[in-house]
Amino acid sequence: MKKLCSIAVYRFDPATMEAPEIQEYRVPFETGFTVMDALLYIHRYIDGSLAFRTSCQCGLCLVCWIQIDGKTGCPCKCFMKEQMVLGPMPKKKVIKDLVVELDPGESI
Amino acid sequence: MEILLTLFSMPSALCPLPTVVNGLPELNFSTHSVVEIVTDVLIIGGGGAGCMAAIGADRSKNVSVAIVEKGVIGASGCTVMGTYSCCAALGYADPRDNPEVHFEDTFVGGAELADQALLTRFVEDAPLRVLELVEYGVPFEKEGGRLKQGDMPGHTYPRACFVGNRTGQAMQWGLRKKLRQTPGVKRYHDVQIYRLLHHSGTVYGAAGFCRKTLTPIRFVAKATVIATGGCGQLYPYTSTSLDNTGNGISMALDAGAMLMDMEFMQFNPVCYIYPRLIGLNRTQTRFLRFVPGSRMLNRLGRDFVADTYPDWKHSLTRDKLSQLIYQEVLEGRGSEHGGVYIDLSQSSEGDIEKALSVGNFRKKIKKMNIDLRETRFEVGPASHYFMGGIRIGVDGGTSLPGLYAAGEAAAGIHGGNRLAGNALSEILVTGTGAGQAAANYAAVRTGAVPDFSKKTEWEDWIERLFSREKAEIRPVEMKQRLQEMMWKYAGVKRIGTGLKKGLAGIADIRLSLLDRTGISSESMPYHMELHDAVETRLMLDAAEGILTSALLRKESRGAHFREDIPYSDKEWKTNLVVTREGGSLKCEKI
Repeated sequence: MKKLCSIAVYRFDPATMEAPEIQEYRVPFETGFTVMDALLYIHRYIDGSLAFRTSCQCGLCLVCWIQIDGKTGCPCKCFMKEQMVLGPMPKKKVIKDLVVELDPGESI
Repeated sequence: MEILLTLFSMPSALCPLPTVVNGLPELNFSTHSVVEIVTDVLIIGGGGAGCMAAIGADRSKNVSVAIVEKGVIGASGCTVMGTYSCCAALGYADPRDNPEVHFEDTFVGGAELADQALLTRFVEDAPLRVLELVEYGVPFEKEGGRLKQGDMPGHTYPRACFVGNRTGQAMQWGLRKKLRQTPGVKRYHDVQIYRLLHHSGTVYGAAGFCRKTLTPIRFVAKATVIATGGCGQLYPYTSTSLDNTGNGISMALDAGAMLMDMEFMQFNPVCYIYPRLIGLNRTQTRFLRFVPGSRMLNRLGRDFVADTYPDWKHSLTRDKLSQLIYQEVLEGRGSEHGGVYIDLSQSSEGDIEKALSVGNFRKKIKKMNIDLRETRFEVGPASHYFMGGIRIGVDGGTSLPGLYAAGEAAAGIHGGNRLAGNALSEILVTGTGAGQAAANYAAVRTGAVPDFSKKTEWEDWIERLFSREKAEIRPVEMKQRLQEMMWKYAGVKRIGTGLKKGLAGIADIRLSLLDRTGISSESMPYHMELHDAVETRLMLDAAEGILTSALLRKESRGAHFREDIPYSDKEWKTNLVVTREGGSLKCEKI
């Protein structure tokens, strides 16, 4: 059986929660896969309610930037580790979980 | 938990609590809660083609322009992933080059199926649009005051303009900057559009919802441009971005527009599957096959490509190599993650260095501490570019008044296959063309707008999704099932009986998605399950178009390979068009 890695993810829904919480997920660990792969694994197999941005998956679009172990970074450019803590970009308005307002544009 | 939270510099003031009115927010499509936005021109899609369309439409000073994107305008989509070449016959590197030669190269490369009028406009306008991008500050590489132009396979003369190995990203960033400096264009990020507003064969805008607030939105527009890209995500192995789900193609089909060349999906044979190569798009491993001594091995360690084609490295076309690898994996001899191995253990350091001297591949690989001679990459064919899409005229107009299309969502320029380097320039030409034509149409269009306030089956379905919270089937499972089925039946190799199974599979998935799939009603903003559900439902239409066309085309041509009819037949040297008639699709020769 594959080793599992432990991923602690910041969860926050401004509409319903007063304060952020941390949720822990266990994802099969594999060298050569990225933090984004772990997020997509959670989305596909564990919890569809976790929100994060994603697009090119290879570090070119830069829409997915988050905090990984306290440092801002691109989850497609960081390999998975056995223990990780993921949070949203600092100094940005959190829309939900790891999704922040990047470029407000027109408001609706 | 508190300790973990302190890891993030997250002042609470930056996480404001929104005002919650009447309890939890919910997606409500009753008339009063829908936000209506009126604009002259609506652009759907915020990649390269969409940005060019918005900038082009804004040149008509008397029209209002709105651009809407399900992700982030100027970042999401496939344009940023373009690596090297943006081809235009500027004739700088070789004065013999001109649009006519570019036409011939593209026409021959596309199995002689390209629309000649569209192609003429493309080759003539590409140089102008590239120079327009230079004005916007895109730093194309220069030599002696003029743009450098590099060689690309299939092109007679060097005509690839480039910004290192990140041309697409540089182009997209330049366009994003230009768009931000264009105050006439209103930008709507994070808005998922799912259907066009149409009445008696005329299009009046589109309906969707804001992903951030889940507010239903109705864009009422005099002219609508679809620039939503292709549908590479119909396959599990793809070099495209996760946004490339063909939504616009499906919405156009649903509204009654004519699609064309739907059987032509280009597969790139040597895309990496494992490990991930940071900062490199999936096609970048394609150069590895040209390294002297490289071998392509199956799970049993056999150099299976050399067994069939001893001189495969240079002689084998992309199509043939894709077919061989696809067959190897299908027959159970693939690698752990679903590809085959490319092995450089018998190559010398010098050969590797020499063969990979162009671009940033070597640098990035070194940064990842990967030893190319020790690491066996798992590679395989992946969907890369969709030649089919919405049928357009020279100005980007579709078969429906009020509807225009541009970029990968539109068909016709490439025919049955695409030459490398023609995608990044094509989005510029068709984007500008469609944007300007839409603005001209909007400026003179008069007449009352029908009442679109009534809910349709789409809104009923979305509301039903929430009511089936405990349903066992989640949308993402449906999406994966569709992708796997398309790979098996409408992938690199197709066969008549398989395509029929694929069509039956579509019907099954549609039924499950419409009647048995549910999503959680918790955590409403940025609802990824709802996003999956909407995307998957739209993907089904594009997939059905591909299967139907591939079944009708009883020959192999361009990127379409029928294992049961592995030859071309002059009877089929024509385009196939697809329209929706009631519940089924009608496909016929043009």
